[in-house]
Amino acid sequence: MSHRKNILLIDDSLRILTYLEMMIREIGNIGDIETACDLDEAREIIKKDQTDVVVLDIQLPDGNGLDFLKWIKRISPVTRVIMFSNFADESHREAARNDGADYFFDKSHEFEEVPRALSLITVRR
Amino acid sequence: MNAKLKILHLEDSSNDAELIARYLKKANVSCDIKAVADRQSYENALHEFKPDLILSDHTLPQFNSINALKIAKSVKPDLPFILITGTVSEEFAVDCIRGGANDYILKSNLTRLPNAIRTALKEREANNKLRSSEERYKQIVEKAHEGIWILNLNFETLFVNKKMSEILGYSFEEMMGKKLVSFLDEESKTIVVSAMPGYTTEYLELKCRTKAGRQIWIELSTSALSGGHDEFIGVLGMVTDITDRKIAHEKLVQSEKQIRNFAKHLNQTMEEESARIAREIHDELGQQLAGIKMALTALKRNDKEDFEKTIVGIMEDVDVTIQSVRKIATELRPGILDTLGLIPSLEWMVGEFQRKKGVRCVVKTPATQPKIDKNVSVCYFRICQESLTNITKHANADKVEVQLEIEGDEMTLTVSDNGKGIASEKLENPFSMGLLGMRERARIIGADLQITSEKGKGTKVQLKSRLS
Repeated sequence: MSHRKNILLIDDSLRILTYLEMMIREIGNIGDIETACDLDEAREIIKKDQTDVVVLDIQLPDGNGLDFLKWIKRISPVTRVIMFSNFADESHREAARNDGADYFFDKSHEFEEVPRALSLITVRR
Repeated sequence: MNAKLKILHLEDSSNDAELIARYLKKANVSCDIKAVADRQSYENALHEFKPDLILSDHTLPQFNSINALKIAKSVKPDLPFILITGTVSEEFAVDCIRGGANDYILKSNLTRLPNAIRTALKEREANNKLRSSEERYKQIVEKAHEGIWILNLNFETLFVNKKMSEILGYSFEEMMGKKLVSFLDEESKTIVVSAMPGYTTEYLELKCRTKAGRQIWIELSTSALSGGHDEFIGVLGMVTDITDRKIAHEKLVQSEKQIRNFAKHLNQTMEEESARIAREIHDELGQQLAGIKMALTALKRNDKEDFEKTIVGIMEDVDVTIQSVRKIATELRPGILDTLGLIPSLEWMVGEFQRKKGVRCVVKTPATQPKIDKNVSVCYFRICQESLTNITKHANADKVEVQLEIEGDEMTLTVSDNGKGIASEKLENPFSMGLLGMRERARIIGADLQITSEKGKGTKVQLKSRLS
């Protein structure tokens, strides 16, 4: 029996967060879905509760998502991180890979990959 | 008389010497008397005793007062000398006074002596004061930092002080008698001639030539010099060398012109950029969104057969719109500069340049990227961008190399091409806007920009700064 996975969605666009939530809800084994509009908010949530998966944008109002990625992987290496950004060229993908990202999806062209990746993650223990 | 007066008494009769000494004591003349009887001791005493006053008899063995006076004058010209003697002719006495003695007293009538001493000393004090005030004025004239030029009523030179001589490079003798205008340039001559009638003028800025042939600017102001009865006797000119000031002023004017030109250029550039963006947004995004709306409207009409096809079409349109948005945003300010930093941005820029312009490019960057201040990154990015733009516009090159080196605390960007090169007049032209823009950008972050180019041998743009 795999426990329910808690998800944290980080994006400064309310519309994107809403759509993401909608897409994710149908997946099985999802526990709490939390949302954050900036990195400060996100930091508080991660420090407070157990977060199993994070969906993270790169350009955020109070910082660079790639730096945040490094922080998450340092304080909670088991948390999976899915990068979700409009900066989807090879340099950014490579940088995210080097910083420990588990997945990288183009926000405009690959958004259906997010629920797909989440399904894979939640199936595991 | 406060301090004890030192009196040197030349007298061979010890009786007379004692007599006079007692007389002075009785008259309350506080003094220290040294009596000498011959030439040698007289001369020694002059140097060693250093008297304030000399009293001298007339006739001494192998010596007389005339000689004594001469010797005294040669040692200390202003030392008071009073002749005290027995009977002597009126003629002789007058000769003595003419020769420089202050007074003569008859031994038979010493009553005048104390006052004669006092008067002689007062005279000396007055002379000293006059001399020191003359000294002072002489110092003022000679040590003045301004040139002093005294002319007669025909404006011919009567006197110039040291500074004036230095300013024009001519000696006093060379300037004596020469007219003021003979030292001036043509246009300045006219200025002076029209200003002069009153002898007194405000500050005139005049061009003249030094003896060495150098052209300088001077500022001259004149005042009329009057004699004792209010008549004009000459002109006093005060002169300052303002060549440096004039040159600095010229530089300032040119600099202001340059700033104004640059501001105009920047304004124009901004307007052109805004126009370009507006056009792209309107032509690309505007049209695409309009197309999407039309397709959606068609959907609303519930054309069920084409439903799926229409949706697919709309999705494609949206994709193209997204592409345009990314393209326009990147053209304005590449996000990569903020997210990944300078090195990936430069690599990306050069890659795009090669792809779009078909120019063979080589990019060399360090393996690791240190923390670089944001403003510094932007500056390097923009200067590289500007250099590549210039290569496209002017160079006609087919090979470009972009290199970023970081050695210790120093970061250097070099953009070199094998194109036409820039003519040196253009490189040095302070009004060349493109280059000026790059130089100004560099200046803002305290970086050093060097552009080297030779016609036909390509161009090298090098930007260097400290990272801390």
